[in-house]
Amino acid sequence: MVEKTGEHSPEGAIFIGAGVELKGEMTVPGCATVDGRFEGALNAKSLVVGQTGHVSGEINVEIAEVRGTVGNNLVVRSRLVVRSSGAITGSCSYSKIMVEEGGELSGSIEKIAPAAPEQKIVSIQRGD
Amino acid sequence: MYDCSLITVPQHEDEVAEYDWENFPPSMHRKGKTSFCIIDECTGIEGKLITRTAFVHGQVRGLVFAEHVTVEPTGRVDGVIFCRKLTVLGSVRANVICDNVLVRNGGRLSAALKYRTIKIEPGGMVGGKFQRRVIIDGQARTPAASAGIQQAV
Repeated sequence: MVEKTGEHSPEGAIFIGAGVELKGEMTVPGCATVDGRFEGALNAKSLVVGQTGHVSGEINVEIAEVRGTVGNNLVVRSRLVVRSSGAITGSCSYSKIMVEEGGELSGSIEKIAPAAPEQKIVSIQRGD
Repeated sequence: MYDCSLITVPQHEDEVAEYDWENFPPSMHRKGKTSFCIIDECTGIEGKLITRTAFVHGQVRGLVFAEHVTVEPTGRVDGVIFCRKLTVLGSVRANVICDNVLVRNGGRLSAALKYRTIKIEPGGMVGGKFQRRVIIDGQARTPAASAGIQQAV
């Protein structure tokens, strides 16, 4: 579901391993993977919360896949996937959603307009 | 003679949470084989609908109290739903207390929802205040279990 933006990705990524706690503000151009704990503000293209992961604060991402827990406030501009072990508590906004049986949604849930597709400017060279 | 007027509709959230669906009268009558209701696309109901299984293709405003409720793609329910299993392919704007919720592709659920399990398929849309009922010692509980239910009938 979530694009892998690991070592081969041109976009920067971050991995917070199990047992690691991080507080603060992060802007991640690629994928943020959280198996530990993160509290604070996170802006990323995609967010993957592992089974042992816990994320809370102001989270703003394009795509999210949740196997652990996410506190408020989560804004997913495109696709939100909550796996069977995942739980979202607090306020959550999404454009598209999928929740597996066993997944938890608690709090205020809101659908938002889908993110506008990125416009790519392509230069055209005449072949003559 | 089956008399549905003898069925007591739960008035409080904890009554719904602890409701004994195994002894739900419509499910017990003739083993539930004849207790179902289809509301067709051209039919609207205002009031209370009590049955074992409800298939809603039309519109219901009021209370739906059933073991299984399926709101079909053309269906719409506004009001209150107490059920064991709710499947949404159409539109629901209601206070919902149920055990299992399934929102299928194209289904729209806008609700104050208390549930045990939820599944949302791709293409389903949900919104509102959601709360999971946790099971303690075999009984479902929510933090505000003692609060009354606002019935929008």
